[in-house]
Amino acid sequence: MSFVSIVFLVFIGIFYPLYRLLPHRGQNWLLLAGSLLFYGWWDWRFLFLLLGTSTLDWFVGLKLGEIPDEARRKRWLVASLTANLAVLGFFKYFNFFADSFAHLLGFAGLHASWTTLHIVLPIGISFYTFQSMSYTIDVYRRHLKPGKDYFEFLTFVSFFPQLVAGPIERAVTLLPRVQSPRRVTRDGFTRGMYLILFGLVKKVAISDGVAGSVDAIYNRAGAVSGADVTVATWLFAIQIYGDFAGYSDIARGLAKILGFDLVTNFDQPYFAVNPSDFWRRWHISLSTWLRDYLYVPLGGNRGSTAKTYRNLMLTMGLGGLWHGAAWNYILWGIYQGGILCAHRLWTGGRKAATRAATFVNQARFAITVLLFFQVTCYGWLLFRARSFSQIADYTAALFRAPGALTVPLPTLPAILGTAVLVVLEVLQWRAQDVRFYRTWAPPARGLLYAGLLLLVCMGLGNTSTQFIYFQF
Amino acid sequence: MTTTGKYTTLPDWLATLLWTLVALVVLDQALDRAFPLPADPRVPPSQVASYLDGGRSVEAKLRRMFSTHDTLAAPVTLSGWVDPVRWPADRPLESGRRFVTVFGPSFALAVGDTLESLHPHWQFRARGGPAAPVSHVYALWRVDRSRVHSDVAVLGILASSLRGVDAASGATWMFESPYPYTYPRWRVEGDSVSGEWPSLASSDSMRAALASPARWRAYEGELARTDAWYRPALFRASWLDHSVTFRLLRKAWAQRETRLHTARLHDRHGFKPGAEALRTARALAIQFAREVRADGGVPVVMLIEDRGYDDHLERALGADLRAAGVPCMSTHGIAPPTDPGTFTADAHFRGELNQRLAAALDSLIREASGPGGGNPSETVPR
Repeated sequence: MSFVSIVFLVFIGIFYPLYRLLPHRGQNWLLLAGSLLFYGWWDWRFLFLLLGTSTLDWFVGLKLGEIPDEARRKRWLVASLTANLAVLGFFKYFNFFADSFAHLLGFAGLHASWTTLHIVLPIGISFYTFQSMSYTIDVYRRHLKPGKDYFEFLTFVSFFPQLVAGPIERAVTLLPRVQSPRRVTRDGFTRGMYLILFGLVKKVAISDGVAGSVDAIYNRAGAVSGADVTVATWLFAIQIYGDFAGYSDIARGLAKILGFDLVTNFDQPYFAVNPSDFWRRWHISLSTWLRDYLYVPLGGNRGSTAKTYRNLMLTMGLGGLWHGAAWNYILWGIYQGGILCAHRLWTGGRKAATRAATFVNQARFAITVLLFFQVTCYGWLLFRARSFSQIADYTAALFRAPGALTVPLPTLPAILGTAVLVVLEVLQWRAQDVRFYRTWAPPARGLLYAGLLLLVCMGLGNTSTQFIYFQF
Repeated sequence: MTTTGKYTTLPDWLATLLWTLVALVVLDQALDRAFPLPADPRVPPSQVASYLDGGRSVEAKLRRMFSTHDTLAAPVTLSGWVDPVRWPADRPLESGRRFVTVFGPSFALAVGDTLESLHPHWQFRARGGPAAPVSHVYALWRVDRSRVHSDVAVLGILASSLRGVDAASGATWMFESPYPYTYPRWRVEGDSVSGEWPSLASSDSMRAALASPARWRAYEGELARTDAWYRPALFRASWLDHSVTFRLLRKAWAQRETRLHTARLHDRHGFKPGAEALRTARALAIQFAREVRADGGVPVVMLIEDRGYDDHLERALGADLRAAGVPCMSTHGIAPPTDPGTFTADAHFRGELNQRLAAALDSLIREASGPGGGNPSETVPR
């Protein structure tokens, strides 16, 4: 079930009072049952996959805890990773690689005639597979003791607020929260409700409200102007941020009112001034996962410069592939790797010095942010495009005269919501505090909450679309 | 729940909650007053006012658009009624010409109009209503056949209006911009269709009902019995109509209802073969053709694939109708709905496409008329 649905409203309306009444163990049982119901609501058959891989990883975790011999421990780890990646590879990538291989043979004049399997992609498989894999790797590295209680482990993997679209939690942080009693403070509850409300604004008012304008250009069959491509891509940048950051906010808010703290997944990414900065702010749980479990084991930046660039390209290319079984995602990953390498080459890997907050420096910062936003947006063009030919056509359009602008206007809640979002992000940036509004007087806070509530009500009238990241 | 920090003490928390409610009421009423609908229903509202008003109940919208008198009412209150008492008078049939009457939504009427301008031997008559579903235009045919003989009768079926087949008024299935006209809810019974005709069939009777609580309740009862789209919470006026927030929530609810209803009829791949609206549309089209032929005319069915559809209607109905001997054309080949260039800004077909569709209609009529091809000089005058 989706967070933005009547059925979820009913679910949480029954679930939450019960949760608050139960003691710790009862809460965990309820969480597990609720999470399995939440996930199985899409398709009950997906549950078998979730339970299967979780059971395997829990069992492997136990083995890794028992066995002292490093070679045997490594074999168990490899078995677990292979099984997880095989499941992910089959359900997510089989058709993609089969089709790509057939095309490759076609180029060579050969014709493969196998039938593409009708594989249904289990929702959120990339998220929970990565979360589960991080558990076995951390136990293998002895960063974490294996969880003895199978049901607690299952509750950790299937934790419904972040099960289908992250943030990708580490067992090191989430599992202990499952294992020990939790307290819901008034402060945590208030913050959680704010996050849910703000997440809903980002999703239903903003993201759903610009989706139609983006689709009108990116789904167009004929030629498009440079102005259309530029504006539609800016709007897609808003759409995908609203969609994914909105989901993350709702997930974090729900977790918060249940007594959990999930990692911050987005930290004002469009205020980034360079690619390294961007990846410290965008989908933080994935970028840190890739850093800790892929980039660093590959050697990170410890080897030669060439190896560092190779590691960056590999990590980002695979990060692109993680997003979906399509060449444009891989191309997006390569583009991100390319700009990270270019930035590293330009700066020599040094971090920029902090500058005093003078007017000139602030203006320089604002211009850099705006310029780097365009670089990010070209990446979104690669990400949103439906084919290589569309990428080529749209890229060419960017270098022609702008031409006529025919992008339909986003909906009213999207326009208002984006304006409110920009103001709130600037206020947060200036205060350097995610809870900048906490010091406001109650009437001002009341006005903020009421305004956000009204925006959600307005946004509910937008054409509802599924969260984009569900497909990943 | 425990307290942490000075900003989350219980008094602060309660004060913020109270201020949130106060601010919500203030914002709600401020928006309601800042973006009012024009007092005159003939004047179009601003986009923002229109957006904020979209969730007003159907009854409140109808009351506003009917105003106190015809001369003050919105023009749409006069469109599409099945009672012929206030239908505009037809031009008398001119010498050497033949009547081609198009029963359909504006898409079909535009093609009929173009047909007359391209081929002057046709004299075009229009019978339809905005976004009229096939059940509505079939009812218009039933009334019209007893009044005027049509040499050619064209039934237009609009893909996006197929949803309205199991409704009994344009006011229920088009919640945000309701059309008040009413029509029978047809039901398939064996080889034929039958339907209960609405008690309010004209603009005058609707106005009278709006003025009489008893008649209005009776009309609501009729809708509850015959109209699959009728929902009291969406239809009935209440004090909630004065709140922008509740209007927005009602609009979202109505959109959800529309999505659910539409999902039962089709998905993005096409119409679902077992859907009641589709079965009714098929039966209506076949009965229409039978009746036109019985009256000595030539029947034609035009399947109109508008924005959001591909060849969905053609796949769902085309083959069945041709197999039943009904001359049938689909617009999708000439006016592909997947190409945004097909449509004008108001989502209708572009003029040059209407010309090509009119030429195709002319060919189909000639083909369906048999030897002589429908040329007036070669047919027996009636």
